Amino acid sequence: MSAAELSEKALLEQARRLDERALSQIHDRYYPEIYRYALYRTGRTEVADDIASEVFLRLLDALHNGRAPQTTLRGWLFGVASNLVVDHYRKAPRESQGLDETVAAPGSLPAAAEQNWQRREVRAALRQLTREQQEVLGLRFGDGISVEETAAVMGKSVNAVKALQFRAVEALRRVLGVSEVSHE
Amino acid sequence: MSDALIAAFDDCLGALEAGASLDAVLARYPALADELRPMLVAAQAVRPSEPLRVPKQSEDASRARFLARARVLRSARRPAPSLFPQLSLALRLAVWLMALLTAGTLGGFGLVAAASPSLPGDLLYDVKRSAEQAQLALTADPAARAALANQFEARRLLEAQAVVAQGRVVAVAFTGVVEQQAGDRWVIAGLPVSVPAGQGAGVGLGRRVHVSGTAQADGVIRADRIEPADDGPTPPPSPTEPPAPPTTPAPTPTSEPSATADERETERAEPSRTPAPTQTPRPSVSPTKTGSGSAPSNTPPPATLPPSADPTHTAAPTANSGGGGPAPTATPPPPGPTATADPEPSETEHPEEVEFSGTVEATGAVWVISGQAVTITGETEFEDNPGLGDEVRVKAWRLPDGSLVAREIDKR
Repeated sequence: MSAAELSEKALLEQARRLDERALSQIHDRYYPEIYRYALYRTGRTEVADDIASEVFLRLLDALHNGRAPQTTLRGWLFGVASNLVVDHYRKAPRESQGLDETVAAPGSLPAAAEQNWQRREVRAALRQLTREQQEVLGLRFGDGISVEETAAVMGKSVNAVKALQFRAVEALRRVLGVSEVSHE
Repeated sequence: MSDALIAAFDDCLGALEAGASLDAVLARYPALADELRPMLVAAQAVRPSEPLRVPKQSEDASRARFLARARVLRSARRPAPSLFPQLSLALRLAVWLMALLTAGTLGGFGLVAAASPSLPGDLLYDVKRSAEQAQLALTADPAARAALANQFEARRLLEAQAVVAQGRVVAVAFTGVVEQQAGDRWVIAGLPVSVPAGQGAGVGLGRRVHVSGTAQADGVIRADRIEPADDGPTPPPSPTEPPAPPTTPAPTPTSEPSATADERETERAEPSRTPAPTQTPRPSVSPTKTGSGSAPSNTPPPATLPPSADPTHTAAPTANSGGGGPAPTATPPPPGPTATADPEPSETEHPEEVEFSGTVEATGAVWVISGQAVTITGETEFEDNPGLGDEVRVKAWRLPDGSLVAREIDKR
């Protein structure tokens, strides 16, 4: 068991008592990646704001009601975030397909090609993937976390995550018709 | 799709992320290059070129809401101060008799009733506060007394809101969450507060504080004292303590319920609800219990990301999941009995349960719904995230003094 795991378990134990210091640490530790994950999955900063915030409020209620995650807090948080993303799309299926001009950091607007993930057609293509495929891309590309960490979060083996990631990109490639582009 | 291709793809992704060129990474796998190239191009198309930026303002706001909500829940766990269980029935009767005598001295129950709507500075405000103290003193059940204390705390905030709205210049005291801080001008529980130098040091956004000061004619409360209120509910006064002076009501804890979806909302299969949490804290007053409608469950959630990760969630396929498999559904545990007592004001006086519908005209510690003031507590359950202007159905307790404490507010 790694030190990080121990630390997370210790945090969880204190969080079950609603210890403010532990809760603060949990929020500080996980908010950025939950936000980035939600932003990548939805493409909209205001939705990412709402989802990330809601994830932590759900955690509090779960802690209070004795339904807190038992071991992997991080996986639990991402799981709730993923559910909220699904809820978001179910409520507003036509939302979150548009460009969100506020995503790029002011003053560091990358070249147009580098913002492909924000393009309407790319976002639409992402949404055609299975939920697990969207999740793996959210974790790998949105958050930039490693295959190993993604495997831990998703409760899968490393090889399974690699395969899932491959299938996700393959599906995107088909939808986006990338093969022609590749030979230019 | 071979294992070798999958492994090569992942290796190439890592190399690209590290800054290598596409041609360079493909050169590592010449036999697979033709298959890898379009895949890597597609991956580059959907991968942000730089880490996504997390706005500090968003993180701070979330943190403030998170910690404010935690305080509410912590208060709900803390057993209410039990001052009177050791008192004999005879002694409690004696206290009650004293209260009767006090009320009689001031003109009887009619006077007490007449004092109910009074505000700080009113002639009858003393009577109102004395009656409250007597009511607290006579309530033996800790949960009921805590609920009653919360109700009185809500009144203090409502009174402060009222005198501010009326432009009265009068002393007020209330408890609330710091919602905004701009120099010496703060917003606490929705009220503008002028904070003098030296007060509120170290108090940040989301902190629950006791405020005492003077409401000004311009609608701003000039704070004399701002103190953190992290020590949980203020115990009700003992029967031997004199009532607080009317112009300096003893602050009691104010807290904040979830401004977000009730978990039960996502438990319903049709239609599912997007939580749409608001960015504005919704101040409230009762730390007696969570605002969540969900009850404890013994079923722990899976620790991993798949759809069952959130035990409260009913998953469904994504709207455009044409190319993918269906998302499995996680069935939430059924609601069970709640963990804390109902907000009954006393052992003998059971509040009447009422229901009505109306339009939300004001929110805060006390909501105004079609002209009726309803106190929001930590126990209040919200469904479908009702807000200003929404048509809602309200289930509430009517306390003996006629005031309403919301049990449930459902958006219609």
